[in-house]
Amino acid sequence: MRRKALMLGLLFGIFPIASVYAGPQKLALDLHGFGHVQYDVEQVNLDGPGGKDTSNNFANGGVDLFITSQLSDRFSFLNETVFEFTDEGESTLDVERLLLKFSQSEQFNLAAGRGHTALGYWNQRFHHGTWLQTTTDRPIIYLFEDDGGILPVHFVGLEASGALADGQLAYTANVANGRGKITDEVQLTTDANNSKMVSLMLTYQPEAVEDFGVGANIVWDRIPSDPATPGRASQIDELIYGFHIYYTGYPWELIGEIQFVNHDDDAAGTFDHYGAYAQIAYSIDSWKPYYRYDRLSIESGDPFFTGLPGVEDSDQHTVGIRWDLEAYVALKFEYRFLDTDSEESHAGTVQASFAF
Amino acid sequence: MTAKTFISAICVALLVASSAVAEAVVIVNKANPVKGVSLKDLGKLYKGKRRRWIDGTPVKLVLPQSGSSEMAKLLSAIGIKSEEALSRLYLKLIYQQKIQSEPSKLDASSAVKAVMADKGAIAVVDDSAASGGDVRVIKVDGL
Repeated sequence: MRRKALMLGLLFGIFPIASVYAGPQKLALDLHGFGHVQYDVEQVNLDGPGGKDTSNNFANGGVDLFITSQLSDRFSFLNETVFEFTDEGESTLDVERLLLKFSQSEQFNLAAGRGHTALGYWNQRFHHGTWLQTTTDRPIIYLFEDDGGILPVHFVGLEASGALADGQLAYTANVANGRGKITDEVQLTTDANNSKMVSLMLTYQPEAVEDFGVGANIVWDRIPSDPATPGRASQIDELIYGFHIYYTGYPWELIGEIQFVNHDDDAAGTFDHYGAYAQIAYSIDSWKPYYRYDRLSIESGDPFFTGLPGVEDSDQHTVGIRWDLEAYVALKFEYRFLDTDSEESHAGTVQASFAF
Repeated sequence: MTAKTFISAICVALLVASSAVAEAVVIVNKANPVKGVSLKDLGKLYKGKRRRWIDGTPVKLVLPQSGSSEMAKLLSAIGIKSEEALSRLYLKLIYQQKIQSEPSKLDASSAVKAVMADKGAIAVVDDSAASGGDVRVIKVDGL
């Protein structure tokens, strides 16, 4: 009897929420969405005898449905499902985010499911709706896994987040399944190895300067082996660390980030890569001209990145202007010059992005 | 009418007119222990940067009616250009999971009722509406 009382006391001592929060409330669901359509034109100058290749096309950017629901005072739910189209003209459905979140306080929130890894400013601030971001596309370093990106921008697992020091120090941390055997595999229901990805991101947001932040992040993971692929017989230790700085006080948008990726493969050796960008934009009423420089540096020979299209040393200059012609409709006119090891390209995009 | 009478009539008219121009005030539920906030804190509350009161109660924002003088005063106080800009900010905050949904825009008496019904609610209303409800007017430094 005494042992039972002790156990119950321990239980409610550790989990006081069980005795404090009670009762269901009326459920409400909020549905929002984002979409974009665009026209692209590109001229690619291939190195060697490849010559020039030009193309122009309209593109349906897909629809990003964003569903949230406040389940109780402390629990909320978020789902982001994207309907998009492949280059082959097929439609796909991707559940990009699915999170059940418990909010204890400003200092501590815990979410479980699939979300965006604690991996830098852009990955936390901008997800899949292009209306939310100034440019037509993400920085090269933050491309999604299935778009040829080199970072693990999605996680499946746990996320702790909050703001300490009276809101001046924001943190986000993950414990998650980690990378799959190939770059665009996000391990949704299984984990190919027993080790977990661990990440931590801190951002200092001083009270004295609103909309300014500076921070750093670190990610550690062990990438499982892929014996079916030559050169991938062993696991790869992955260490990613980066820094970010931003100021987004109207009318300015200044963002700079760098991410370093280190791979340690028992057989192939160690490889160091990095990616960075710097973006500047300035709002003049409903117009926002912008410029971004992207840099990607890939050390050759890394078995995890070998043979992936677009994963090579790259420098890209992007210049454009965003016009918010209505509250939730924006037009973006953009030019990009991309210089890689294998080609140079000039590309233009006119994108209509919207929220609903 | 003599000049004296005419001037007296003008003074009375001005007095009546000035008392008819309502002042915007910030109200909270009486169970909310907060007595006052700074202008900066008001901005943090309405821009979703502070989402819980000091006792852990979730902040429930109530916006003034669209186009009202209280809305104009609130936007000016928190440094937001327009109602459109505020709506866009809220959509971004929803996307970042900072808030659950866009706050409701209510007329003064509905706003008072909403604040009376929710311990964490905060609203900006005219002072005559505030005095008619069981809510607390809090001091806002700089407003």
